[in-house]
Amino acid sequence: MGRRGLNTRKGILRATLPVLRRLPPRAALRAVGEFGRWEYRLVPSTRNRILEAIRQHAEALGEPWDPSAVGPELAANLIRSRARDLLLDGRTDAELEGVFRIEGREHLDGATAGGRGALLLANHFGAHLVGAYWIIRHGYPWRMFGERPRHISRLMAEQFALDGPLGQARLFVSRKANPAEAAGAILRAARVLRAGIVLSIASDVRWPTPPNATAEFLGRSYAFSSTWVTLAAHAGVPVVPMYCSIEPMGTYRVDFEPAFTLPTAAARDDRLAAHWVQHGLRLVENRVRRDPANSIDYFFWEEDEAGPRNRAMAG
Amino acid sequence: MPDPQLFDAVCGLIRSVVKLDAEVPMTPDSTLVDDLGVDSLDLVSVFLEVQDAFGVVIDEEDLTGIVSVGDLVAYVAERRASQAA
Repeated sequence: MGRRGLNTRKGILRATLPVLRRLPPRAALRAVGEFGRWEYRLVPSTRNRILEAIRQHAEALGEPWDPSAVGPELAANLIRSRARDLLLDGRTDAELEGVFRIEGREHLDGATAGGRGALLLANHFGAHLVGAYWIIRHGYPWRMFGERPRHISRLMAEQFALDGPLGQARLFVSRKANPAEAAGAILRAARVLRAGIVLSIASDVRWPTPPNATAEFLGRSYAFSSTWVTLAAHAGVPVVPMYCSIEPMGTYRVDFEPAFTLPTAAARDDRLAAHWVQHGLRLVENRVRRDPANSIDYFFWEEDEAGPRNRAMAG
Repeated sequence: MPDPQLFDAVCGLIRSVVKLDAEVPMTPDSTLVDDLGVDSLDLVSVFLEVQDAFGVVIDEEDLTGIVSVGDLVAYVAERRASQAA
């Protein structure tokens, strides 16, 4: 999505958040979605960019999506994803009643039974940070391994400020880290898992330097971070895939899929690591196929890197 | 000069994890990243294997000071001594 469009959305959100926070959460979230539909209807350049992205990816994946039906929903979800978890701040449990629909919670609870750590396999599908918000709000001991997100709720900001050996503050990683720093962060994350904490890490992060593996996603080939594979294999903890979809009526659906474990060898065998990286991406791609309107990030990855091309051409 | 037995054991572990050819020389001055080509993924494996094999805990804050094979051997020796004390 173009920088100008993003800035417009951010500006609208910033200006309207104080008002939206006075509304019941579902009404506020529906209103945010309406901004996106309004922009889609009134701004031809936005509409055309969205339609083109849907057409390109439908062709690359061989999916019979109707761009004119998916387009307005994708536009609504684009702006709702920009709101992150900001509209959930300061709400009581009663106010949030009905905002979340949870499927497969037994998979998370089974994986963490007896105080075990679990690796929550996250992604950038839908409203990924809102899923994390639900986890924190429901009292699971949770940390995130990845780059630090910005523009987040107070609840999440407090979580991110947790310090100490098992705190969140030292689990943020940077693309500029040297090998020793990167290794240190992974060791720290392994310790967090062994301490019985739920650690969220994304499976769909394009990463140009090791630890990474080349895999296919949405018809193209990229180098993706393989850190989640290393961690899951070394720590021997269950891996629980999680998705948070944006729904049209001001609600979110959080899905937990059945847990799986990785063989220890995946931590040291490049081919095995690549296999699991591809497995993680295939799970996300299945979601995209079923729900293209929640493919918010992927359809607008930088064009030089992310424009779909035929699998046969993918390196 | 590091303890020769410990040095050999650490070298063997590094060779096994990183899959280094036997003819690649390894001295106390060999740097893990530049000389031996150990990347961050291998480093994680090396450190985790060292922890398990020698019963020591490696503090992540100390990793930036472990540049060479000799540094790693000295670190393990120091941790073993401090844990035994």
